[in-house]
Amino acid sequence: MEIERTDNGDVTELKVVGELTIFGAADAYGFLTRALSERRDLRINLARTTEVDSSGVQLLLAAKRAAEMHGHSFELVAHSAAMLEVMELLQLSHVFGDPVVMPAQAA
Amino acid sequence: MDLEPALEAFFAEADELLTRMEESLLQLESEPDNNELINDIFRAAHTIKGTAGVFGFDDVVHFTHEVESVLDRVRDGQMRVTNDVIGLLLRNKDHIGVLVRAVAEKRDLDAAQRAEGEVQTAALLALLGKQTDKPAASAVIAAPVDVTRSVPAADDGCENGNWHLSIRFGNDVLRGGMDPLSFLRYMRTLGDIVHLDTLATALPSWLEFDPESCYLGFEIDFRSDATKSEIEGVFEFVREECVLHIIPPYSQVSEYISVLRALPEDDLKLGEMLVLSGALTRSELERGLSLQSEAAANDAEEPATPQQIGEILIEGGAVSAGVVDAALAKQKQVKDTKAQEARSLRIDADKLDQLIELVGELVVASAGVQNVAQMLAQGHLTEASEVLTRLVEEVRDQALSLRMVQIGATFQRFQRVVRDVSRELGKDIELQISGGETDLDKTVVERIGDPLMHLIRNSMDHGIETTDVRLSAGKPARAKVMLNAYHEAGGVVIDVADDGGGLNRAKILRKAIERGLVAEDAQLGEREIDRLIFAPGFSTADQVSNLSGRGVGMDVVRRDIEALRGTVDIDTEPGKGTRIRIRLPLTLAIIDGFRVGIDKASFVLPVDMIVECVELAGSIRDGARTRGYLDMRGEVLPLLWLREAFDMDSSAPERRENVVVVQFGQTKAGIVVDQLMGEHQTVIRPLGKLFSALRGVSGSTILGSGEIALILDVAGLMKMAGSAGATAAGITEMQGQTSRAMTALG
Repeated sequence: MEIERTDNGDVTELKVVGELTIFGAADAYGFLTRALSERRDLRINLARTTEVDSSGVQLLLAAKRAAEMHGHSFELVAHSAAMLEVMELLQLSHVFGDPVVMPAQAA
Repeated sequence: MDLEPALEAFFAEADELLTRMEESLLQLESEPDNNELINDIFRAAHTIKGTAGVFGFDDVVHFTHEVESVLDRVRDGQMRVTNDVIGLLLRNKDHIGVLVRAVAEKRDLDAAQRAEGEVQTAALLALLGKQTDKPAASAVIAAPVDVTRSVPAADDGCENGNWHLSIRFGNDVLRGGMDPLSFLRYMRTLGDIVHLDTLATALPSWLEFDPESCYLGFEIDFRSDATKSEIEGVFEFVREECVLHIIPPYSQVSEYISVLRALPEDDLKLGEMLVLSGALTRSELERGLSLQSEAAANDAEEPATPQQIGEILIEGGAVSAGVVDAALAKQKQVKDTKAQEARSLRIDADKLDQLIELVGELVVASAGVQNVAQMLAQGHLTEASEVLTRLVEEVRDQALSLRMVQIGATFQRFQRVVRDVSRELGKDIELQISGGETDLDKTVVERIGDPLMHLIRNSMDHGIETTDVRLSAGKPARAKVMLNAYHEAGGVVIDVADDGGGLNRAKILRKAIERGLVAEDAQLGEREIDRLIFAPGFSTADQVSNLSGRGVGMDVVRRDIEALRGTVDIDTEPGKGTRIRIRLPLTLAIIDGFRVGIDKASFVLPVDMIVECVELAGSIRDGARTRGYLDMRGEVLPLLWLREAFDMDSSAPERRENVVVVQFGQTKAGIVVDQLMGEHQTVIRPLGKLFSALRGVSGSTILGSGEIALILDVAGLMKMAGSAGATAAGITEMQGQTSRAMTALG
C-alpha cells in the first residue's frame, strides 16, 4: 500500500494506492496520524484502492470521527469497486455520508 | 500479519477430517443404520465447508455444499445408504481432497480433475433432484424456534420473521488472520442480509486506536432457512473471540431485551437500532424495556445473584427448561472436547528434526565429556559426567519418542484400497488390521506406505484366488488380507498376509528361467525360489493388469524397505496363503550402540541386536578357526571374523578374541572382534552416496574422542556369516570398498 499526498488549498487529498488491509494498517495509521495532526480538511481518494478489509473500514471510520471532532471535514471520493463492495456489504453509505458514484457497468 | 499459519492449520485439519470421513464411510457400508457415523461424516463435510468459506475458497465450498445436501438427506432418513451412494461419497471425499490440495498448492485443477468434479456434481444433483417432491432438508429447524412458534400469538411475540444476529468481534480477530468481512460474505451464502448496522461505538479515540485491533460489531437482520447451528457455524472460527447472539425468527421480545442487556452498548441506543432495522416495532421495544426496568427494581430489593440468560428465557416462556438443560449439557461437552484437544500440540516436523539433530550433537558432546572425565579420573568430575550422561540419555529417548507415531493411521488407509480393488477384481476381500497402536518413527511410517500398498495389491491380485476357486477348495468365499504390526528386538515387524493360494513355485521357477534370472539347470531350495519374486524384472502374471504384474512392484518394495535399513521375508504355503514379513529398525537417527574394537579401529553394533558376548580363547578358538563356527551350548553358531571381513592388515591378538552373538529375526550369528568396549550412545550419520553399494556397514558415527566409527549392518553381516565361510565370495567383493570407506571417513 502507498499513500500519495496532494495539498490543494485547505484540503489535503490522500490517495490510497493498493490494498487498504490489515497488512498495511499500521502504516496507514501512521500516515493518517500525521495528516490529522495538521488539522486540515481531509479527502481520501479511493480510486486506486484494490482491496479493503475490516481494518481498513474501521481505520476510515476512526479517522473520520477524529477529523470531525476537530471541526474538519473528512470525505471519501472516487470509491473503487473494492470499496463499494465493502460499503454495500456493511451498509455504510449513510455512515460515511459521502456521495458515491456508481461505476456505469455496475449500475 | 501473516495468514499462513491459519491456512496451514486449515489444510492439516481438512486432511484429518477427510481421513475421518473416509473411515466412517467405509464403516457405514457395513452398518448402514449407524446414525453416529452419518453424523460424523456430515460434521466433517460441514466443518470443511465452513472453514473453506471463511478463507473464501469458493470451489471447495460449492462442491462440499452439494455433498452436504446429500448427507443431509441421508441424515434425515430420506435417502437410503446404498453401496452406490457410499461409492459416490467416497469419490466426493477424494475430490474435496483434490480441491483443497489445489488451493494449498495455489494451482488450478487440470482438465481431468475438473471433469471428474463435474461428473460428481451431476451425480449429486441427480440424487437430490430425484427426491425434490419430498420435503426439503430445511425442515430441520432448531427446536427452540418451534417451541416459540407454538406459543399462541401472545402479546409478547414479535412480528419479525427474520433471524437477528448481534455480534461483537474480539480485539484480536484481525491479528489472528481473520477478517470479519469474510464471515459476513460467507453468511450471505446461507441467506439474505436484510439489514446490517455496522457498530463503530467501540472505536476508541484516534490516539488510543490500534489499527491492528478489531473494534467492530454488527447488528444483522438475516433471512434464511438455515438452522441456528448452521448460522452459528459461520462464526465457528471466531466463536471464542467474539460475543454472538442469535435470535430466531418470531422470538419473544424478552429475548431481544436480554440480548440488549448482555451487550456493552447503551440499551436505548441498541433498541433504536433494532427498531430501525425492523427487528422490533417501537411498541414492542417500549413494553420490553419497561418490563426490564421493573425487573431491575425488583432485583435491587432482593440482593439476588444476577439472573442467567437461560433463567430469563425460561421465565419468559421462550424455551422450556429441558431445552436449556440440553443446551448446557451440549456446551459442557463441547468444552470438554476442547480441553482434550488442547492437550496435544501440532508441531512443524522440521522443528522436530532440528531438535533431534541438536540432541544428536548433545549426545556426541556428552560422550566427549565422559571421555575426558575418564581420562582425568577425578571423582567429582566422573560423578558429574555420569549424571550428565544419564540425563542426556533421557532427553534423547524423550526427543525420539516425539517422532514416534502409531502405524494405525497408515493401516486404515488401506481399508479403502482393499474395498476399491476387491470391487475392481470382482473378489470378496476383507482387510483385517491388528497392532495399529505400534509406534514407529515418523519418517519410517511415511515411507512404508508405498511398499505396503504394493504388497497388499499384489496379495489381492495374485495371492487371492477367484471366488469359484476358493469355494471349490473348501475355503470361505470371503478372502482375508491381514495387516499386523508388533515390536520385536529393537525393531518393528509388519506382516502382510493373505489366505489365498500361496506362491506357485513351479510357475515362479519357470518364469524366472524364461526371463533368464536363473540358469536352467539351477538347483534352488523352496525359499530361494520364493525370494525370486523380489528379483528385478520378475513377474508371474500372464496378463498385466493395471494393478500389478508389470514386474516392477516387488523389486521396488524390496529396495524401499532396504533403504529404511529393513529387510523383507516371504513365507508361503501352497493352498493356505502367503505372509510377507517386513522388519524395520525403530528409529533412523540415534541408537544405543555397543562398541567393539579391531586393533585401533572402533565399530558399533546396535545393542538391541546383541544377545550375549563370549570369550574365544585356547583350544576352542583354534577349533572355531578351522571349522568357521562355534558350538554354543549345542547350537551351531556361524562365525564371522570382522578383521578378515574388512581386510584389515593388523594381526589378531595372541591370547584371546571375543565373540559378539547377534540376533536378527530368528537367526543368530557370532561376530569375532578383538576387544569389547561397552555401550555407547550412537548418532547415526548416513554414509554418502559414494558408499551406497557398501555392504556390512550401515552408517558412521562420531565418538566422544572425535574419532569415527563405522556402524555395522547386522543383517548384512549375517548373510556373510551364514554363507559357506568367512571368506565367501561376497566378502572378498566388499573388501576393497570398506578400506576405501575407512580412509575417506578417517
